Amino acid sequence: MSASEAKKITLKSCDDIEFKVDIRVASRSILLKNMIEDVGETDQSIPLPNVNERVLKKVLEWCEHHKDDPQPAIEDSDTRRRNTEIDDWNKKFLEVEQDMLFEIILAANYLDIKQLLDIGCKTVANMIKGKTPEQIRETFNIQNDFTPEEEEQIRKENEWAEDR
Amino acid sequence: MPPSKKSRRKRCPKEIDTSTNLAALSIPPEIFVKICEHLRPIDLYSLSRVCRRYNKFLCTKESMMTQDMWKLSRISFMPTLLAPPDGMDEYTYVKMTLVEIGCQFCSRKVVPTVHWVFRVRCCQKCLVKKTLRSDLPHGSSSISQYPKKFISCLPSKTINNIAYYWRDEVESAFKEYEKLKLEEDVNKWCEDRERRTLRIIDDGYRRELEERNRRKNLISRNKNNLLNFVHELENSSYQNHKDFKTCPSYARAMNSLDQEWGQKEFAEFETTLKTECAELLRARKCMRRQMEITFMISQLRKALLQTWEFERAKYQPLCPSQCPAEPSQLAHKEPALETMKLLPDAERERLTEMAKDIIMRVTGQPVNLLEADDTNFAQILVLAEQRARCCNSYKKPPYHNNDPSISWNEDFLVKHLIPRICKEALTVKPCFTFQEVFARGECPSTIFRCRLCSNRKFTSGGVINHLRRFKHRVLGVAGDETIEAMLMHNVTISGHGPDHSSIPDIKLLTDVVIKVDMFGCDKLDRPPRYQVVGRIVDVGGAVEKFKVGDRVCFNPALNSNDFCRIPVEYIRISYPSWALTKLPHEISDKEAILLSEPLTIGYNWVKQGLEYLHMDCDDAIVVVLGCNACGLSAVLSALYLGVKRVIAVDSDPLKLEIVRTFGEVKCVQNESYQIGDLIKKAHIMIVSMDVVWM
Repeated sequence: MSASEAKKITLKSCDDIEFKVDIRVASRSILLKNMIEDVGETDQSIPLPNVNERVLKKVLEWCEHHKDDPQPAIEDSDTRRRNTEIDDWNKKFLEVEQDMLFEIILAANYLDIKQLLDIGCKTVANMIKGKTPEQIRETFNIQNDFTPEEEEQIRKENEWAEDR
Repeated sequence: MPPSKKSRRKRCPKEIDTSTNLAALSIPPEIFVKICEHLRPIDLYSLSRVCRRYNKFLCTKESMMTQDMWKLSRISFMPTLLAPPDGMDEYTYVKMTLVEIGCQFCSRKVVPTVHWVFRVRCCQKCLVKKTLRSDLPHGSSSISQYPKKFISCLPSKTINNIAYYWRDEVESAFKEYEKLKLEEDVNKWCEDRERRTLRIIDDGYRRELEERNRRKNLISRNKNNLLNFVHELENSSYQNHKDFKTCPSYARAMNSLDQEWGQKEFAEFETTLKTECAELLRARKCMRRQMEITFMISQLRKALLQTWEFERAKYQPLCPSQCPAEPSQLAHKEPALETMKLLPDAERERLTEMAKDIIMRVTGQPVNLLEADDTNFAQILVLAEQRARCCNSYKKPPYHNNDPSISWNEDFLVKHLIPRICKEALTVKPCFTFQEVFARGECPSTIFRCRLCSNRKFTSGGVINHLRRFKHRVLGVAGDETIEAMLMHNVTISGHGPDHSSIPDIKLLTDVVIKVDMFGCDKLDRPPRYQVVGRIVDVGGAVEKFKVGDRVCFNPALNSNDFCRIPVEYIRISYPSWALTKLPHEISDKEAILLSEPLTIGYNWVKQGLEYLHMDCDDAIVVVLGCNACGLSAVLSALYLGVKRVIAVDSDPLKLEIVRTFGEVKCVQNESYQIGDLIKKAHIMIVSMDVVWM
């Protein structure tokens, strides 16, 4: 174990920047973990075509901080979902621009880092919670692309609904 | 394989503005699903109305993914909510049970219940309108127009022993029923219908029960949450805890317990609650302060009164003649006396000392409490209050233990606040507003300070001149913004001349006694006024600025009424800190004599003139008519201030000789023809007393 700890692998982002990473850190990503297990140790760099340098750096920062966490057990999905609390470090970690946040989520999804994906989604969910459609549009800068007829339809459907 | 971001973008609706956030819109469905896992059904509903893409994700009734998303959310966040009835999709179900609050037909926003038997949410009024009822014998709204057998297999809802049947449903069912010709078919149809009806009624009953329970649970949960929340707020808050529950928003919240209370609602609640509470607190604070001050005054009075009573009672047996003990008087004094006796000795001593001290401060004389009668004591009380009003602790009373939520009690007042005020009262310079001083007719004994410039002190006329004419040219000057009044209380100066054999005693803690070394006279036949130089031979305990042996002279700002009229050997002055000026060693007595009157006056004439004219010393022409002590001082001061053109006029060539020794001064022996011109030229003309006009 101690021997493999010191081992490093090289990751290459889509814009050809290389990162030398501890195997233990990289193993937070199930994709990389499986790859390393399959291929064995290699000096060749592993290309990650879907992740750019900026995002990869951020994701690796997360992996570094969480390298000693136990691998997530198969949790009771119910409790995981209902617990919307995010601890302070993660909260701070995800205080980034929205573009970045979504890119981190995509990267976590691609690299198969369950916990990061989870907190990312929670963060977005918390931004949505308790807001009206118009507020959600404002938050994420989304254009209202319903046609007037559709709008009318929705309005009609909701005539007796609360102003949401 | 996770889809790349690029390929996702192509899926975006075409007419998107460039400013639109692509990241939020282009999230792949699987991540959208993951995000939705953390959202309540009600949030999903909002999300479905944001844009087309989200609407498609969430409102495609045929899609399993869509249905699963809703189901997951429903199970996670509302575990008690039953699954939707047969044939109803999750979206409609959530909308019906959670989102809508109004009647589906009349849009009235009363809180109507869902009639699950008919699967509608409507108010009582619409229900009656849309149904046929069992209690009417005939008419268009009566169910009895249909065959009994047919009716019995239709779903109905019973409210107050009246069965209601959904009109549309009855009509469509009856069309089917009418088509049936054979008895057999009729029976079969009825059986089928009956079975279905039973199921619907049973299901409806369960759902309505569930809804009621859910509502009940929600209310009790909300109530608990709310109480806990307020409780926590109370604990974390420094302020008076009763306030939260008296706020209108608290009452409002208690009335809307049947709505979902999320983080957002609590946050809003907290903000409004805090604002309201602060508002309330401010109002209460104002009120309380008023009450406290009244209370404090009454306590102060009580303390003084008790002391007085006690003193009198103590000495009563010794001098019965001085204090005729009338039974009626004694009766009402009894309680105060009793309270005094109950206090421990040290406490009583302290209180007595304190009260005596206050009285002495106030009246300027040590009051023999035995001699004071009721009227004169009442006066003392009024004065004591006036003085107390000037103290900082009175103006901004401290909090008990620095905690504003603790109200004052008698203990705090008697042991802390009143002693503190008394202590301050010893040293405080009473400070009133200009109007107050004016109204009280105390202008002569008051020193004023101009708030607009430095701490210069004036008499009442001086400060108005200063503001209106000289320095600031302010039109309305009697305002408290511009003038600060410093009441110099009870500056008493008493002379003890050669005819008095001994050195006067210190009467007050603030007294000093001066032995007069030298005095000056305006004219030889007049008594000395301000021009006194002396040495301090005795000081009272509260005097900090001076000590025995200090050489002092009088401050010319003193009102002339205060001065002794006869040649004296000793002078006793109370409140000397502003009445006397300490002299440095290098100034001789002879020089110092001039300091107190002529030099300061001459200096101020020139200085104020320059200020008023806003002139440079280079340009100003100062004409001094009459070179007596003040005139000579003015010439000297003008030169000292750097005035280039000084003209001294006097009839006495001897005096002009003295002026010439001062420096570059044009001297004119006065002759009428010249003076007229001079007056025209002069910027500042100083007219001294001893110029003889012909």
